Amino acid sequence: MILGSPTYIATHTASSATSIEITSNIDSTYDTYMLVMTDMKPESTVGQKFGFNTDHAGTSYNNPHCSTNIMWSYNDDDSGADFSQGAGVLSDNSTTPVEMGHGVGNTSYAIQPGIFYIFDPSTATTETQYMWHITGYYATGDGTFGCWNNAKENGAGTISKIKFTAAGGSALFSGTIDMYGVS
Amino acid sequence: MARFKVVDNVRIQLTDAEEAELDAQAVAYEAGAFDRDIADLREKRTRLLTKTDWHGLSDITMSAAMTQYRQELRDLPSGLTTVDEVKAVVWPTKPA
Repeated sequence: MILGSPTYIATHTASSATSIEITSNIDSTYDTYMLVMTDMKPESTVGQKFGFNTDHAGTSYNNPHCSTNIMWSYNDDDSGADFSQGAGVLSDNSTTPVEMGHGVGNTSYAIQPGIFYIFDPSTATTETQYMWHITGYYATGDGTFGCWNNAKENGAGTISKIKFTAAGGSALFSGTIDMYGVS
Repeated sequence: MARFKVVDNVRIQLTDAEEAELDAQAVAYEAGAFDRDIADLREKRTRLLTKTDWHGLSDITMSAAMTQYRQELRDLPSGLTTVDEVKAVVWPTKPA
C-alpha cells in the first residue's frame, strides 16, 4: 500500500499489441510511480504470462534484474488451495522479461489486473526497485491466483523506460495502464 | 499480418527487424514449454512432499499408504517427455 497523493499522468492502452512501452514521464518529478493495470488480457495461444523489462538511454530493454514472488491460488471446483514462494529469477542482461504473473491463460474471460510500483527511478546511486500485486485467472487450475512480487535492477542507475509484454515477449495482448506519480 | 506495439500510447507497426526478433523470441518461448511445465510440476510435487515430511519423524511410524503416496510423488516426473504428458499427469491422492 502506497500512502500519499497519486497524481494522474497518462493512460496507455493496447489492443492486439506486442508491447506497451512507456518512454516518457518516468523521471525525477516523483519518487514513486504507480501503474494501475486493468483488463490485461493475452490474445494469442501462447500468451500465458506477462512480463516487463526496463531501459534508460537505449531501446534494447535488456537491463539485468533480480526478482521473486509469493503466489497463492484456488480452483473453481473448490479445490487446489496453494501457497508458495516462486523460484527467484535472475534476468541478467537479457531481453527475457521479468515474469509478472503466473499462468494467466488466454480464455475469453481471463484477465490479469494489478498494481505496479516503480521506486526511485531517477536516483543514479541506488538500484531502482519494483513491486507489484497481481490477481487473475489461473489457467493451470481453472481458478484464481494472486501474487506479490518484487524485483530490482542489478546495478545502480536511473530508469526512464519500461516495456510490458506477454509470453516471453512475443505474444499479442490487450489492456490499459493508468500511470500516476506518487508524492 | 503486421504486428504493432504501443509506445507512449501511440500504436506503431513493428519494423522488419522487430518482427524477426519477436519471431525468434516466440520460437525460443515455445521451445521452452516443456522445461517450464516440468519445473512447475516439480515445484508442486516438492511442496506436497514437504507437507507430509512430518510423517517421517523418528517417533512416528509412517503408514504404508503414506509411504506409497510419497513414493508416487517422487516418481511423478519420471518418464515425462512432452508438454501433453505433463498436463495429463494424475496426482496421487493423499491418504486420510
